[in-house]
Amino acid sequence: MRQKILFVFLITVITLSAALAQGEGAVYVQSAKAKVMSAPSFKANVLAETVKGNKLTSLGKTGSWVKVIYGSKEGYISALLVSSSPPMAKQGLISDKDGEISNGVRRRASTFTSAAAARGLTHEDRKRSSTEEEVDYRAVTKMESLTMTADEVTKFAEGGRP
Amino acid sequence: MCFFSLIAMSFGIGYADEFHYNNLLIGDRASGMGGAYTAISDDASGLYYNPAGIVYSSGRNLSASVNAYYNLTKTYNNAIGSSDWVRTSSSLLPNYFGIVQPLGKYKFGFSYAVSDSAQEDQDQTFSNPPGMTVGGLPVTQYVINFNNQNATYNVGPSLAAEVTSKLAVGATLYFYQKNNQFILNEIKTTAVNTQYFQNNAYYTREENGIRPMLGVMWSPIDKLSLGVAVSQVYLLSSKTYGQQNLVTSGTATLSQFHVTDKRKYPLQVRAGAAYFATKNWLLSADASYYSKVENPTFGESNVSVTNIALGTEYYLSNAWAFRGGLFTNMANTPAVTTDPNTSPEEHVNIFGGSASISTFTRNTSVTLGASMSSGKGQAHITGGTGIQDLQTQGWTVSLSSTYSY
Amino acid sequence: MRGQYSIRWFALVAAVWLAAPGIAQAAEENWRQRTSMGEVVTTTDIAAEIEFGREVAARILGRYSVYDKPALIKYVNLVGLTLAQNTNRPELEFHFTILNTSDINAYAAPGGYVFITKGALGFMKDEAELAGVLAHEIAHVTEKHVVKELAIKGSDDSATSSIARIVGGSSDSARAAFAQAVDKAVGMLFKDGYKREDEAQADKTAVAVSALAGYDAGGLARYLERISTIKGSAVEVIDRTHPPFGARIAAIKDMMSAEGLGSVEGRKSKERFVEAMKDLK
Repeated sequence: MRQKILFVFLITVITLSAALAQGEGAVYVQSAKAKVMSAPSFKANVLAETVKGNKLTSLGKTGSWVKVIYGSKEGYISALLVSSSPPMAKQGLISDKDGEISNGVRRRASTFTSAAAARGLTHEDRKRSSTEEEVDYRAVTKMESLTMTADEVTKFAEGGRP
Repeated sequence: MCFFSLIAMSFGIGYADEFHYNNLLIGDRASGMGGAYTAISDDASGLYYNPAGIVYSSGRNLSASVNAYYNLTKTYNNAIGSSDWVRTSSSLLPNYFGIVQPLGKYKFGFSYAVSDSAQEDQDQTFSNPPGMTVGGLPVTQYVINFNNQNATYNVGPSLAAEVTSKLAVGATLYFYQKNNQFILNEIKTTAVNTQYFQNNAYYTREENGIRPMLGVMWSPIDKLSLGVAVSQVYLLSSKTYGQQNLVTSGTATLSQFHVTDKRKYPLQVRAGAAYFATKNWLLSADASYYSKVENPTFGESNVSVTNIALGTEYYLSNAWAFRGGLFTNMANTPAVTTDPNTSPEEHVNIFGGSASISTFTRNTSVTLGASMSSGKGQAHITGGTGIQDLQTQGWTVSLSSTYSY
Repeated sequence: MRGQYSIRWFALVAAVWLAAPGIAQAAEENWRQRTSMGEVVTTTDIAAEIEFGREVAARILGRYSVYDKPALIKYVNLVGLTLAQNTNRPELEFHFTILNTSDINAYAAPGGYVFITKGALGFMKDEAELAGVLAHEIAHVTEKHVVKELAIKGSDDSATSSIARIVGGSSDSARAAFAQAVDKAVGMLFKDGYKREDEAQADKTAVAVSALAGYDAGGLARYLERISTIKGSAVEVIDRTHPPFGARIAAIKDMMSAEGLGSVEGRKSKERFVEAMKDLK
């Protein structure tokens, strides 16, 4: 009797895995906004516009488009705008290169990547190790200092003056 | 000349489970998949199944079974009058360690596997067992205790190379050791003090040898992998020692034997197929064939055995995977007969299933697995012509881990 | 007989097994590879990518000075960020600047540092063309072309963690590996170029991203057509590091017709562009 139950259990579990493996998945919108089209083409009608972070059920990929379920409809969203993990927050550098331990660091098993990533190389170390060229970190910092708010960008995208 | 019948007296007790070839499932992933791993074998636990597969392992990895607990119960129906006789053996041990290292164009591996292990301690007293006599007097008390330990070790290096992008070959050279120790005490007393029977037996066997293994892995089309691995144990030395002191109503007979004959082992051929359906789902099937082998000095006459296994692995996400499998563990003995001199001790075909769940981080995985097996068959363990029905139930729980670096 | 019963069950299971799969995924390159955590990108990976890209950016800025016109730089950033909003890497902060050289080219460093030359801007006629070029560079970043190319195969197949390993390491060998990787990245930008497939992917992604951001998708092709006729030192680097213009333009046009982009209206914002380019002397 126990033998039978065991087999039934295992068969169920195994065929369930088979069913689950049939390709359903979720995708998350990564871009600020994304249009859901009625067909896998730029020419198609726009069914809806969805926003970053939205989770959509994916029914598979067709070319560079992903077929998704949006609300009660089926539509297509560009594969360039979605990904299988939720969008991450904006990322900065490993700040304070000489010591701070950033968030995900300790989770890694490998010794060089985790703790060492926190210690990092100082800029002077790297400069010494570069054998060839000139480097200009001040210019990089200046380049990084220019930031825009999402609003400014959206207004510009809608046709405003820079 | 069959020494072992001297020891098997009232009960023909065997030495752990010599009657099957697939007693323990080994390996972090493989044990969850029923052992159907010959066409996969792409990590450190693959060294034991098909060394050719490690060519497809990613980088360096190390796999260890942290601990495995095995338990096997055999129930002989109506063995003592109308009572069942139950034997339980168990074992708790780390049963696998493997490491894979790329070495130029090759992959080098080293592994240690305990392919069989059992420990049995029995201590039972039966009052007025029916049908048992000493010197014509009925036995009032029958005490039997025995301790039986056996373990089989395989340890050695492996080397694998990619021949073409679709074909890989590999070899493992295991050093093989099998240790067996059996201590038995039987006492039968009657109403008359001077009429009794006592049996003290001690038996030990240590075998050392090599077990070379050759493996091939071929993928004729994308997503399909076929693997074959052939191995055989060749003993280099064997020491079997037995000693028995029989006392019947005051008259003692001591016998000893010391045998250095080396047993012959069967040729083992494992063939497997695996279908890598998606990145998340894998299906595999294995068939293992063991040739028939006769060891008349030891009273063994084993038939050929074919075991099959089916396995599946499914990743629920990047961090979780589930595995399931089915396997057989068929008897290597011929059918039980009523002849006490020639009948094998038992003939049971065992079927089982396994499942495991793993959790992953970037470099490690930890797996918790379990398996259950059961079998029905027959046994001939008493001196007479009776045949008993035999059921076996086994289960195992294991915890293992693989680390990539 | 009980034994037979067990065998029948077994056969049933085996039959179910063989009947179960209805797999419908295209053959993948490495079909043996299981899903693994190695593919998961952590914040440490991103930080390492940005750290590495910063070094490459510093080298680029060591070679060329910045064309310091704040209003024009701001304009380029606005166009670039409009495009960046339509990609799948929201965790990156993109930064754009203009290099003071008459060379016609654009560069991108991992982590979101994009550079366009004064020379290139001088040959553009509208914002859609600028968008096309910036989108091409953004694509090199979002598709991690440099990171993947530098992946050190061996101990770990994951490209991202090998970058993290060399960025994070503080041993001598890590320092050397880091310097080597930066040198190699700079070599890709100025000498050897990206892999052909990566360039093709960047062109296709650029057209798609431009369209998704609302721009006229033909901008990049128009610009490439115009500069393909130029000879001389201004196009030396771009010629050395990219596939021939003819092939690129043909591939873009094929892609546009396949995606139906030829008949989709998109912004060119010519007035706004011309206004901003007044700063370009």
